[in-house]
Amino acid sequence: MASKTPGQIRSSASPAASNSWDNEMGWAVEDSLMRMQKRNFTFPALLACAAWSVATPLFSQDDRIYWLNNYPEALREARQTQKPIFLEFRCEP
Amino acid sequence: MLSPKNSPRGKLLSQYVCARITRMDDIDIGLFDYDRNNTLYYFILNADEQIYLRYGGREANSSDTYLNLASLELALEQGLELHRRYRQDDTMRTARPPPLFAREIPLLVERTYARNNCVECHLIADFQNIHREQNGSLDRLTHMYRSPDIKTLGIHLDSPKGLAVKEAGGAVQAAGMKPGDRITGWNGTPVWTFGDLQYSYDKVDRRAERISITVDRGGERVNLSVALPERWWWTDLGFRQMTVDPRVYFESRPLTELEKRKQGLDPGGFASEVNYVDGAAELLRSHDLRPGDIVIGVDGVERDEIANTPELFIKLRKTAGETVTLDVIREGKRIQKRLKTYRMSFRK
Repeated sequence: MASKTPGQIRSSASPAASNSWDNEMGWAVEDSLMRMQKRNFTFPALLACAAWSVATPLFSQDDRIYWLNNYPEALREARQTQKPIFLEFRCEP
Repeated sequence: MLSPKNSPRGKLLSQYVCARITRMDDIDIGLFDYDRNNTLYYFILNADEQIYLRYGGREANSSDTYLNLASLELALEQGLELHRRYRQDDTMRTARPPPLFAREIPLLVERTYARNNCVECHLIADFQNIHREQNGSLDRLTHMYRSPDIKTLGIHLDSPKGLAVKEAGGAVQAAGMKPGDRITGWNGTPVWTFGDLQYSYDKVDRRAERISITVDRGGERVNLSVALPERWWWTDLGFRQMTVDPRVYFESRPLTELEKRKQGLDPGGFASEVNYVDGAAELLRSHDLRPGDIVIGVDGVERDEIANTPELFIKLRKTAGETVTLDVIREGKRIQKRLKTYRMSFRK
């Protein structure tokens, strides 16, 4: 088994260095490079579409599954209906 | 139509209150804690805010390895079962974690709230770590290297079947895990989904040397004690676009002990041969290392209790933006090279 370390690893750099995060040269280049390297988000997009397809009124008016966009309202409805909550976190569509 | 009215998913989802969160402004991120670099993440909980399970999780090179509609259905079924049990016996209740809101992270307030920008999930993680870095509480192994990869332990899941093990190698094979096992517990915590498993794995102390894994084997409960391999927590940080790790723009292969001895180097050192140089190194004038260079030291340091390569040493011990001096062997000659690290900035 390898040697393990004390958990806290602190940098030796000055506070000034850590405050310079938005002033670094080249961030725009890096940003565009990283955009090019973005991973495949196909399945998450598909899954979101699946969830969305259920969310949208695919069903008859009475069978429609609504997606709330308000967490306190979801809690209220769950209390009233005794249903569990399926809560999705995602960026805005 | 992916989920028609009478499809399994349609029937399952109709038994839930479905809600979607796209802004984190008023969300208790202490309760809804997860690795914010997930593209999608789900919780199944009840009106008492008791979380039954999570659905999500990823690995470094793919955001969707563990996400599929079959395992989502399993999670939805399991959520309903746990809800049924809870309603019969609310002693299943667990303590709520301390509340935390995004507005309590000063830099996040400055960069998003104050500018009326969206408080995106990943920004929470980014600013939390910057804040930790500034106040000296950043634990890089835990905060930077989130969501350890189960493949490092040798676990390969049949992911449409949830936590069914397809292949078991390495550390878990040595501990007795077998294909066909179904993982049900991780270090004492019940797990129902990959999201649960990865979250529990992330909570393991980075200094731990063993963890316990419980599996169901043909209806029998089997406990396994797994010896964690070296650097089990390590993952490629490349997809975490805006983390606090210093960007170095090269990769290297650790020399074997024999190779180090032949070169007259410290056999316990992190000397490594450069095998990849990112184009950004030249664009950003970060360094001029070449493939084949052997980096033997960073600022005069040649060994580290955790790092097995110079780039890992820099990521763990230096702050983004610092310039370091590398001791390099190029074509048999010892030279010194400067390397300027960079910090990712933010689009917003």
